[in-house]
Amino acid sequence: MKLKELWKEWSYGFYIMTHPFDGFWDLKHEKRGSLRAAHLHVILMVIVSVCQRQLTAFLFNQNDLLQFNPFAVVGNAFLPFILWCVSNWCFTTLMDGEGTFKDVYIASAYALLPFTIINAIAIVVSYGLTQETGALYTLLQGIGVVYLGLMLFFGQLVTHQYSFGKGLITALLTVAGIMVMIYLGLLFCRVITNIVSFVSSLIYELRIRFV
Amino acid sequence: MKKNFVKILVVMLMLVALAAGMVIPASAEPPYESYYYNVQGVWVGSADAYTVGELLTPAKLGIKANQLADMVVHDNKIFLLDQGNGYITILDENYKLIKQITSYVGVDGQPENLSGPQGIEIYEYLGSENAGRYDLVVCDTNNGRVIRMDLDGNFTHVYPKPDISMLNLEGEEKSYKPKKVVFDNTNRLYVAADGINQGLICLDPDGSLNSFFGAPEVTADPITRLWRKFLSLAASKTLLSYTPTEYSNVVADEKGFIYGTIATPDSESFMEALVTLPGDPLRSTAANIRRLNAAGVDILKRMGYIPNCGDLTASEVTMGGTINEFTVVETTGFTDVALGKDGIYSCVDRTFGRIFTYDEDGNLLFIFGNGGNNECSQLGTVRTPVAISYRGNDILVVDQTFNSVTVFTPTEYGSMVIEAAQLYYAGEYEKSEAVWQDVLVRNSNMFYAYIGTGKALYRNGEYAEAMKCFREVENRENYSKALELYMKEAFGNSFAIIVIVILVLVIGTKVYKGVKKFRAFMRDGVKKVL
Repeated sequence: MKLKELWKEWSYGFYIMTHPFDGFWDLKHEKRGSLRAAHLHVILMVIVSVCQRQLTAFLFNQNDLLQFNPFAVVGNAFLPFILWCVSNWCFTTLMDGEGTFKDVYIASAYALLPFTIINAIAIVVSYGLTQETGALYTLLQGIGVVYLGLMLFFGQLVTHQYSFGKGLITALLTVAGIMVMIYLGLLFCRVITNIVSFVSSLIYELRIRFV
Repeated sequence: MKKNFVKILVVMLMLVALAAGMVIPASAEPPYESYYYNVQGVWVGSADAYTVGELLTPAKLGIKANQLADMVVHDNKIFLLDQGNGYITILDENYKLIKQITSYVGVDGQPENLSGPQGIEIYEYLGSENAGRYDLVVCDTNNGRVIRMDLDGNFTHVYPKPDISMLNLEGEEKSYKPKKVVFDNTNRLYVAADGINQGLICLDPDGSLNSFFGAPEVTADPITRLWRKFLSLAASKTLLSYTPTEYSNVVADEKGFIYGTIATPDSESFMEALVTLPGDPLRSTAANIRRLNAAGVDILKRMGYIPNCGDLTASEVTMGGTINEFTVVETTGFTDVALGKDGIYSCVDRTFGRIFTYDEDGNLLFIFGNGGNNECSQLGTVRTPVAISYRGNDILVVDQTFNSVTVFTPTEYGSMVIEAAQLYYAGEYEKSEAVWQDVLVRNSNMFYAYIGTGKALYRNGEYAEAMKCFREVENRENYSKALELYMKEAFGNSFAIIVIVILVLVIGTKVYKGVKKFRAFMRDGVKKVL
């Protein structure tokens, strides 16, 4: 019974895919989707990303298949998504957005579905393409990214009840926010590494001198 | 107690037996580790392609020798040029001394000596009346001329210093020191002279100046140029100099193209060329071997996955004293090239005495050799290689430090690689595939053998097998070609159409839905959203 409910909630993504404005509106206000279905969408996207890295046909796969770091691969797919959610939430709370973090997360998760589907298709199609016809593969991937971008944009437009212009500005700010967060994250890691190495070398010197 | 004693005895006996087993009877293992590069450009071990055959020392030949400088092999005879004494030594096919030319009777009937000669080459007479007639050409370096004599050492012709105004710097006459010389098949003369970096001096058959030829390009990035403007003269001298490098040796192939080697390539651009893919123009600008056509343009094929410019790693060498210590990046520099059969050529590296062999397309076939060091040199190491030549499939290398000639002979593995490359060159793909597979049995690190096998399979129409080979070494270009034909075979021509139809359907529905979405946005989106 519960499974059937989950399926219903999850498959609402297909409706959103084709009717983004109606879809996102009902997603928030009519509670047609759910948090757990959103989790499912995200997990599916991550799985397809991993598959894309490992299973894409040899011609279009530059990755070293024997070097598989699960944290790096999963993080590579999941981190941009969660950064988008956090950054978007940060800016929309400042700019009178109506959505909570949960709303942002659910809408963004449902927006992933077309991207996931197109990537899955791309994996299959890659086996039937040569380098000459490889432009089709690139095209497919391009469509996936553009579609994802539009879905995320429409999603936040509806969730926060923004006008087109305001939505565009928020989207740009969100992207800038992601960059700032990445920058701060790297800076933080760098500083921590420096501190750790400083302290450890200090201890090392002291041990040499006094022990 | 007694039991323990027996135990200890047994263990000791076993140890003795083990130690005895470790004393392997002396074998003729060469004093170098042969290696190869894998697709990622990482050093991998390899079977030895060549082994040490013979070492010809002056004592063994019964000659005096002081600084051997060059060698040429013609009609199974070996001509060695002695720079210190100015002698030419002629050896027969069994490496026995035939004759040593110590002096010749010059143009005015007086006996003359060569002074510090550095280059020797074979000159072939043109025209049917002179067919099969050859001369020796020697660079009489310190006398500033090129001498031609017949194969027995009788003087026939002299090419004096050409009238080159460029050579006379600011009124002061600069000396002309021809180092290496070569002829093309119109008997034009190409001279690599000391201190001339405009390329080779091309002389007409009568000895008059034709042109400068095939100058190595200069590469200096704009930032360095800008720096030089601001620095004082003394400071700018500490920067790496960007004068174009000179050719260290020149050889002509049977088609009349000139191979030139460069011993000190510009390390910066060289390092950039090491990470390029086949077809990248960077490769030719930073090359240490060139093949020049009649217009002086480099036409050497560089289609190998591994660039045909020697080692893929550069070593840092520390120079200067303890106070002004600095490091110099040492890249492979070739002192000579030997042309084998069917477009195969071998180059010798000046610092490490390594010999790199490539096929006509520039694919790496094998690497062997070792320079030894000053403290230790043994049979098979070449301290200062100055000349390399093929004699059949044997490779002869001249060592200037020890005045010796080392003869390397191919191993079973080496001759197999050569045979496979030659068969492929001759278009015998089926036969070459079989040989490549034998090569792989002996050295699975030899990735070019996979490509060779794959190409041969591809030509034979076994596309699926060819794809496997190309995939093994991540050769996407050839893989794609094989895949295309494989699909054509499996699905017919319709496959591409099927893919396109599917894609058009997918994209079409998306566009249709997008249009509907946009309409909905225009109709009630505005009302709802705003």
